[in-house]
Amino acid sequence: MFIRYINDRKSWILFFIAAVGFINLIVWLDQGIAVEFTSVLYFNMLLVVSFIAFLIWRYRVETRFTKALSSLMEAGIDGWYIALPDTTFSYDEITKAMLLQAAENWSKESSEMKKVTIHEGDYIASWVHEVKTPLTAMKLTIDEHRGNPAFRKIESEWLRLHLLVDQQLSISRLASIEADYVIENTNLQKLASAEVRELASWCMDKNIAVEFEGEGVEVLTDVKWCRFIMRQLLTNAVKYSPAGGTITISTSIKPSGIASLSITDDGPGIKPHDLPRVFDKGFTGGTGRIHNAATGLGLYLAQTVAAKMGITLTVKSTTGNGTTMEIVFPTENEFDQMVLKR
Amino acid sequence: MNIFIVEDDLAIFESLKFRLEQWSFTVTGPDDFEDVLTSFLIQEPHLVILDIQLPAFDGFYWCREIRAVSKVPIVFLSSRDHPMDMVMAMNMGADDYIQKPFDTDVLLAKLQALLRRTYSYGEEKPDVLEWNRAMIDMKRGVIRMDGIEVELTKNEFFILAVLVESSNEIVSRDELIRKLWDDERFVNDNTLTVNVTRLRHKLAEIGLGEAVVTKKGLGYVAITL
Repeated sequence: MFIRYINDRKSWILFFIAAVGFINLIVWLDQGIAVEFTSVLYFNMLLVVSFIAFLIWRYRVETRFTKALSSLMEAGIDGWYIALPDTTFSYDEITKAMLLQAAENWSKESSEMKKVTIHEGDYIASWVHEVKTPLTAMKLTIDEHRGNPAFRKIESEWLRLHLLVDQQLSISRLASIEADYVIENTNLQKLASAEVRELASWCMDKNIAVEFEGEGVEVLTDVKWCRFIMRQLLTNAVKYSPAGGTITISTSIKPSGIASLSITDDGPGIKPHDLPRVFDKGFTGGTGRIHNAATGLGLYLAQTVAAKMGITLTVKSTTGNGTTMEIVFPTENEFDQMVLKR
Repeated sequence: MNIFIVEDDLAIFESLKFRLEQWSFTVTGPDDFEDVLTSFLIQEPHLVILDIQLPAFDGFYWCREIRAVSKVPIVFLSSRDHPMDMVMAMNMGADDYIQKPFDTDVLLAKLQALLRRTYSYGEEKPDVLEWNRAMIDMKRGVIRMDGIEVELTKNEFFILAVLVESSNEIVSRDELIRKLWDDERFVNDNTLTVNVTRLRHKLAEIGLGEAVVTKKGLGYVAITL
């Protein structure tokens, strides 16, 4: 910092050295001025020492504002513009005014953006609820005609529509997911079973069986978002299961107290080089797993929600041998810490 | 049993009415959404189904109005899924909250459970069923004949119970699978076939091997021998 300061004041220092040198030159050349050599040495020393003291003093005064600014930057606190240091010099004053104005502009702009986003989210949410009325009417009509095979086809298409609409609602809520948490002790198997029932018509249409393994495991979690994750993994499993296939859902508690639920399908599996990318946005997989209904959104959303809840999602698969998706829940301690941190 | 449905979407109202009437309920609705309470007082229903978003006043308002004069079971039916809405509905004295879109069977089951609790309506299923001189013990999941007891798996027992409940009528495979799914037994076609075959083998042990008949392409029948 001091070197920077010296560098900035280079011209002043050079001018001082030149002035001192010039005076020495005149004293040496001008015969009319008779001064002892030791006297010349003495006043030169005096000038240099006092100049260094002067430099140090000015350095302290002139860099006070800049130093305060940089320490503020390092701390990176919110509302930095309130904590801006006082100024001594007019150019620091201008810098400060400029900063304040920029901050004000920025906050105005961002609050406007936020308003627009909230408005849009509200609009989507109300639209989704609006859509649910005709969806309900359709469902009632479909339920009346269950014996008719044509209606069974319509029912599984209806289900897809319903799932997409529900997914949209969840997306618009994703931003405020933390405000939405209702944490309770829940039975994993019951949750999964309720989700499987939601997909009943689709599974029956594809002639898929779902088997449960493992005992009833209880975890502390938010039911709605946990079901959201399960639904994404389940729809994926159903989507890629061959007709007449079996999906296995197993729950377990590891010795370390970690609860997990895994969903295994006997579909074509995922190629090893695709595995790391299945949770990426827009990833729809290579040949064999390509599906025209795949948006590459489901697993990405599941992963996003899981990350916010402290849940880990893992995938295991060998080509041709099905896929296992595992939901690993945080232990009670981890979850508490996560909630406390907010 | 009289059910009062406050729902402003005509398509949903008509379908629900049709479905509930099939189950021999009487269904009425308010004449005027501005004054639901008067219609309610005239109809004196045994159960109320309330939508939240309604013209004039919302469902919460009518729930409070009804609760002020009656203890009738109230079920909310709404597309809103926020926990706040459910909490609010329950606080206002609702007995259940069902989200749109709902499965008609689930709704019916919930309504029947509510009515049963409130009015002890509908007979409880008997514990023991007699079929072809054999006793089916619903509680223990066994079938007994002439002192020989055969134990059935849960799936096998459920299939037998469904078939016997509509004795001498064809129950289609689809219907069976659907009923199994409703009971949280998520089986597919193959599993059903395997289960029915096993069931038949077990029934043969007590001489009832011929009592479950396969109707090709239609389904199964439990016949009275």
